[in-house]
Amino acid sequence: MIPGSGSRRWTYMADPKSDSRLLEIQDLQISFHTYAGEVHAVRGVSLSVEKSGSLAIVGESGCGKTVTMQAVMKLTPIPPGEIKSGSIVFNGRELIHLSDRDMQSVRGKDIGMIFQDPMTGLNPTMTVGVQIAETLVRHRRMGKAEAWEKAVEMLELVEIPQASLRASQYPHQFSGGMRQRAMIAIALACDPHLIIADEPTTSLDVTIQAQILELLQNLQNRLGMTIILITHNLGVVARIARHISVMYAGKVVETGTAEQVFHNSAHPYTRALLRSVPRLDLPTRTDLESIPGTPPDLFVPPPGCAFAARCKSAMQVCLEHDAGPYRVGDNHRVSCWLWDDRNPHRSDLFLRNGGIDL
Amino acid sequence: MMDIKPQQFNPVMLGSAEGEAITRPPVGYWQDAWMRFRKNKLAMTGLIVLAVMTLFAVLGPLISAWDYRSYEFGHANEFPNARHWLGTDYLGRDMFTRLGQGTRISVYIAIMSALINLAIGVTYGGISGYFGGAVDDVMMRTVDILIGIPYLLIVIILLTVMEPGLTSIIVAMTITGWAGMARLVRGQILQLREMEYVLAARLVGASPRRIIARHLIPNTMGVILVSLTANIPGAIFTEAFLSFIGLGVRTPLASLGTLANEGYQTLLVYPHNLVIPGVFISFLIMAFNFVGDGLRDALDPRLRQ
Amino acid sequence: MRDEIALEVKDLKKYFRVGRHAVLTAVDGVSFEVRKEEVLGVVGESGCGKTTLGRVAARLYEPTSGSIIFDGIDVTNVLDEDLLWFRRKLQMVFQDPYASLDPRMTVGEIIGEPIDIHRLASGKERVERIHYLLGLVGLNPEHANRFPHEFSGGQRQRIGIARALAVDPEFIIADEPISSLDVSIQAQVVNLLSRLQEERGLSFIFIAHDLSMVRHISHRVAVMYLGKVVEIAPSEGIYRTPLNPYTRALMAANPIPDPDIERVRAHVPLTGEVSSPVNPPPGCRFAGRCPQVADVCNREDPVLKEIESGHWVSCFLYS
Repeated sequence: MIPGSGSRRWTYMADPKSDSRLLEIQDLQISFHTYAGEVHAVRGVSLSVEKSGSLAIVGESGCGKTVTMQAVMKLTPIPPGEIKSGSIVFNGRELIHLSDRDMQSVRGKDIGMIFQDPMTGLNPTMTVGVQIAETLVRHRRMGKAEAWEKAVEMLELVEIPQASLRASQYPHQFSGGMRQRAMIAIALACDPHLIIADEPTTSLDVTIQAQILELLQNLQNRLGMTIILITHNLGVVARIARHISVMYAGKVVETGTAEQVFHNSAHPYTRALLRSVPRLDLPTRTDLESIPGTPPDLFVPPPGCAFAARCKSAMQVCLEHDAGPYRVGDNHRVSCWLWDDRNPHRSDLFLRNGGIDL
Repeated sequence: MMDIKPQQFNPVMLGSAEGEAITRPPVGYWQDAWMRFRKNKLAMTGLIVLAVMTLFAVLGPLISAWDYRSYEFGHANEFPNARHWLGTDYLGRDMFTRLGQGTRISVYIAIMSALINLAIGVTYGGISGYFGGAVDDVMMRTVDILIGIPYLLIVIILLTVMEPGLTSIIVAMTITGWAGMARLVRGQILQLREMEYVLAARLVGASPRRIIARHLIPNTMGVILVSLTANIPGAIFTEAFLSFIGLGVRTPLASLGTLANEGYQTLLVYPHNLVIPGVFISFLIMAFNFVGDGLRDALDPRLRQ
Repeated sequence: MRDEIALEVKDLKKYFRVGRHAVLTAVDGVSFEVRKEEVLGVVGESGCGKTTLGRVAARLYEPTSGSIIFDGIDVTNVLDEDLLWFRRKLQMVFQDPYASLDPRMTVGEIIGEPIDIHRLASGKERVERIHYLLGLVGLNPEHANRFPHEFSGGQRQRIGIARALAVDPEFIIADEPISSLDVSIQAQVVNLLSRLQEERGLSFIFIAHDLSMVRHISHRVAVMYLGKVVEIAPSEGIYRTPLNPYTRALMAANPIPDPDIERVRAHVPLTGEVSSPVNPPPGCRFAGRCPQVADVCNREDPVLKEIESGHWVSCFLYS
């Protein structure tokens, strides 16, 4: 707590550590214009990741996490998409107004992406080796022979057995887990600064998922790569991420370290989410706490907090206005009226218990 | 900083209904498709062109002072003028009226044959697709054979047996024309059969009749409709082609194809007699194609955003 | 949970022919029973045959061999037309909320279909019944006039549940009902199913690949691998003392949503890939990946043996 400060709004401008930030997104707003109207998919998202850090963007479908990361890669289809405002600074460079040509050298070389469905990330008509080599030739200007050698090396890095044999095979000859490894190899080939992994293990079996997570963790430790992980699986988050940004209905509702967000969550949505997941290591509760209702329609976003309609601690002001981010602790921020200075019901003890219990 | 009073921090009780409410007005399947269709400029242009040409076909011969068969000696091959708005043909017949008449007949033939192809194709394909197995094999091999026979050969044989005319040209176009639709419907039904909602219907106790009628056919409608609107331009062209080579309706009846045939004779001297029917044919085909494409996009559930 | 047996499955096999010489042994000799008012969870990864098992048990497919006995009546080879009574007693909830509802029908028509087929109500009563069913699953009456595409995944799944309940069944087979749903919605649907099961005394087979969910809702759990049941026990038993090496690997691979635990845990993931269920080689299916494999495992197939009370394992480590 900072005594004497009026509002505890946290602003990025005053942050002294911005040099070590590899990626910084500020107040990003993206909409899609469809035949049925305008969908406000991203409504003011701000997040960042440090060099060699690992950030998980957690949220359920429709929260805007994929759209946000698509925008970082400049893969947003425009039209119908439109980046209405905001800034994306990567390694000191503003990406929003970058030309397509300049962006092409960023994609693949500086930022690598891993997709959820390996079949969309891999070209079914090219051998895996060629796909890796191709990005090396293009971005690193390697000769074909050298690129092929490096491609085989990459396959070994991601622990694909018989790498030189496998490099000459096509994606359909790989199993699901191996395809995902191949995608990781392609993403890592040019030694990018940042890896964005969009639900990399969601379509995999649990035992294969464990293998891939193990691989990602090893690579992270060995190569010190910066990774942004998009997922809705809290177990995966706990394993890989050191920082977490929780998104809901197009906005970031809470940001903090893994310990802070898991053990000291400040936003009712985060808390509810954590309580709705059954845990193998704890005795069974009688009932999982579920969040009633459904996320709001982003055609007509509600005027106030998007979570208010489903929030146990909702207050009058929540329905009318959106809350700005408040500081909860070191690097721990939450966008919730419960934390506003002017909230007369606020006290540390009660907030630890999750707000006004109705 | 916003001015907020302390009482705004009072808790509110929200019923679960608010959480579940759907804020958008209900949109049926066809309404949704129409909305999407409307946004497609090309498709709407096609629709308008079709509307205009329909109007022309219906009203043209009615408002014209001339009859499609009466000819004026001495006024042959006139360029468009005040008396004959689109000129006259080699026998002095009014082109405006004949074009209206021609459009009527061409479209009639195209739509009739498309509908007949539809009726036969849907039934055949539906049965083949639903039962699958040996039945499907036999039925589809038959279709393959039919498609393999050179089309022109069939047409010519038919037309030497039958008198060239309206009926015979429709028969010629439908005798193997249904095969494409059959294949399409059969493919769609094969795919739909495995959908979970069909499984669910079986699980709930629905009879095969009920499944075909209430689940399979309605979900094939989209594909059928699109195929129909895609078949029609093909039919128009085929009719025009057949008429052009002399296998079409007999004079004094006119179809766009026969008009083109007649106009072709005097192409170098009086080009308008070929150009105008040609333009009509092109516009009709293009318009139907645009509408067909638009329909396909509008009805495709994957393109729903 | 009562003692009477609601559903019994004996040495059930379902093979599919793929190509000319290959046989896919989707379900390869599965036996178990489900008591009345009991929830049996069936857990396994892709290719283990759990979905096929569910569909064969519901008689959507005909078994290749083995028998299915429901309420004491053998329904294995009964023709579809004579199964109408069975369809009233046993219903299913499907996995894909986007494919399990006919996009051309309104929600009211979808829920009304079983009511119409079995002639359970008509006119005003029918409408009331539909509204009642919608309310049971937490939806509003006005939703009856809407189309599936206007709903979210979780809501669609609830509509599917309402449809399954329309005939007032005794037994429900839920085939991965929550796999394609968001985390917080999963809890909603699981709670709903749990509540309905208790209130209406339903017997359940709950098929899923998420262990923690299965354990949460089930009384007993069966673990499947490549068409066979490798372990079956009361849910606490399976989680506290998993005996089969595959079950143990499955447990270990499940990430716990707690960074303090996940970061400290020893992670020894299972190597290799799941082998193909087509033309399987002799011996235990898991032999290729098992960390405790022995010679005998490659030669013979283990069978389920009761090791502790109610806890059955299929593994040579225990025989």
